[in-house]
Amino acid sequence: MVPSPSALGPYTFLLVGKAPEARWPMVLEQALALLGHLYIVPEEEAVHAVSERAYDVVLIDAGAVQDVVRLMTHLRAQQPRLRIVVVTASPTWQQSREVFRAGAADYLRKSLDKKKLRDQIRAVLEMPPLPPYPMGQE
Amino acid sequence: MPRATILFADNDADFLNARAEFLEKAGYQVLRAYTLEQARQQLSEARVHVAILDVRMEEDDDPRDISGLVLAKDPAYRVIPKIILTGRAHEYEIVREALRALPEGSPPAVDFVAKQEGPEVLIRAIGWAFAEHVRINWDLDIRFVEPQSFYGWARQISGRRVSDDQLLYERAQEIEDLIRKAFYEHSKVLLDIILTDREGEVLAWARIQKSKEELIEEVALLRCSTPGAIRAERDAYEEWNRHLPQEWIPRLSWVEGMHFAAVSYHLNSDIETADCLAEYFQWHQAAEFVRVLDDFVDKVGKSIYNQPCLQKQQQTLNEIYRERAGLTSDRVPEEVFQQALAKVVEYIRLQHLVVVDFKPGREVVFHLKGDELVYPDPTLYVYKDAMLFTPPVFYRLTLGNMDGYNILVDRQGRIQLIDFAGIGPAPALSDFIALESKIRFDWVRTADLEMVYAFESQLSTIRPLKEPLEVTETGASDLDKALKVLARLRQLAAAFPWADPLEYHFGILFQAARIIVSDASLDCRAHALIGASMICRSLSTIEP
Repeated sequence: MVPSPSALGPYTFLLVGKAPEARWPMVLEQALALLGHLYIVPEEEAVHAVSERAYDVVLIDAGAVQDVVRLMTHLRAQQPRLRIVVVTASPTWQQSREVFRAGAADYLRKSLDKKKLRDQIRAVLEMPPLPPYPMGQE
Repeated sequence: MPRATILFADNDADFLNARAEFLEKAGYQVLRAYTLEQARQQLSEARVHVAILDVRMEEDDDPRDISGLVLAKDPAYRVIPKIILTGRAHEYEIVREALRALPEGSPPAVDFVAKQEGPEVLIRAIGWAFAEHVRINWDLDIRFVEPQSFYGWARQISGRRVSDDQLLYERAQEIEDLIRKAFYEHSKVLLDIILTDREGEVLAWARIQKSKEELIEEVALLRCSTPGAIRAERDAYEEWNRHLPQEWIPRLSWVEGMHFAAVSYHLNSDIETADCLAEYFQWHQAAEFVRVLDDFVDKVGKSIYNQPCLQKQQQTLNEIYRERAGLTSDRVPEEVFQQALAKVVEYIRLQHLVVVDFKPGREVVFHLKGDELVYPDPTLYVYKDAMLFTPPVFYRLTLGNMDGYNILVDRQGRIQLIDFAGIGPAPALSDFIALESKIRFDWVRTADLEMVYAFESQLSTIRPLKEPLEVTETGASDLDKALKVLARLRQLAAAFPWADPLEYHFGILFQAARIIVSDASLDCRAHALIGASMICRSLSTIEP
């Protein structure tokens, strides 16, 4: 179920992750408040949410989903040029390569620094459109 | 059969040699670079399909050394897909920097491999880079209709910039790769006659076949040139194509390499038996050419020339015409122009045995048909602004590049625009001025100066463009044809309310001046000098 928007800004963001009451989603929501509105859904509702609305950026909390690359593939099947950012508390080089191969726009360490977070997402918004094909190797 | 070529750059020679041997056994040709400098040189000069770059090319123990990654980010090598290699993969930030898109477009690298992962992983990454990013159709059957070769193409496009045979051979291979990329989904391509001898490009018909079983041929027009030229065409096309008549909008596909790029136009019509407008002029009667011209101006008029004014330039028309003719003081200083003028005068004197005096800064005097004809030195108008137009100058949308090689005409007289690079804002009359200059000075062949004089006398008088030009035959069939065509061209220009006769003739003067300093034949330059001198005399009779 997609929550109804409360404070719509010019951009719409979607976080696929844990409940909004958790600490980091709250930080993210505050960080992005100046740019637009953040919606939050659990993994099982993500594909439906993306099919219902065109989000400017979708963030995936790698720690809260079972298979990041698989979810990315499903989301990009809905919106081929979707900008996806994968966030994680403990980044690894292997996962970094995996998500970029799958077409991620960025791979970020979860930060509590709101300004830094906002700048990182703003940079993603300013990126040129991604190629539409789902990249990836066996 | 061309081979897939990889550049492998690593300052660890043992590792590089071991991996290179492995890749060679797998069928790749491997160029080895042990230093950053060698890598740069190979990327710039050699034919490289995929580059594998070690992150640390200078100091293996220095964590701050990311010289290989910096090289990958260099926009000069943007078109070559790169795989970043590292011995210290635990730094996720390095992967992120290598694979995240740069603000100006694609990411520095297409993949990232750790040295510890073993050669199989590297081979898989290379295979994927070729399939997704290089996209060369190795099985494409390429044939030429006429005796020509990609070596010849490379020489025509590179011109005088490249004379080294080995380098031209490498460049020829790059062109072959471009063709294999352009027709990635086809089985056969037959490259037909080249339509133009424009320097810096090749324009050829390509008859393409989807599969060996399917005999139906498609026809595409292929333009191959430098990446800058093709990119300019792409930018202009993307910005302005919405204004073009629908039937002139072909399906376009672009491919880019390090030194060359190509665009193929998949035309909607069956126009494959067409000539360029320049050729069409040579082989058809005035009446046929006029019909084509009418149709052309009708189409362009409705779509392009009737657009509202786009810009008001706060420069004088003199400055703008000078700049567009390439006659600014940094490119052709006044002294150089006068030297060129003196050379043409000397040629007329010796070759045509016509008495002609050139008094720099004052006048040119021809003794023709027993008359002494005194004209102002064109330098006075081209450089010294003897007539000055005050700003602003109104810019409208124009096609640009009206050299006759940008328009195709088929046997039924149907036309197709095939060069979009020049589309953009320019002084409103630019296209008409460019086309008249081409017909008047370049496309006629007669060198007899008395006939040229009779021809130019009819064209140099400044009067309203809508007034019909009374054509008196000169005795030379090409000049007479040109006169009839130009009479019509001016009437077509006159239909646009912004067509000012003074600006029209003034523009032709600068085009004639450009020809005088060009490397065109001396007969053509002599014709341009007579035309320019006569226009100057007409201008001198006009009250300021």
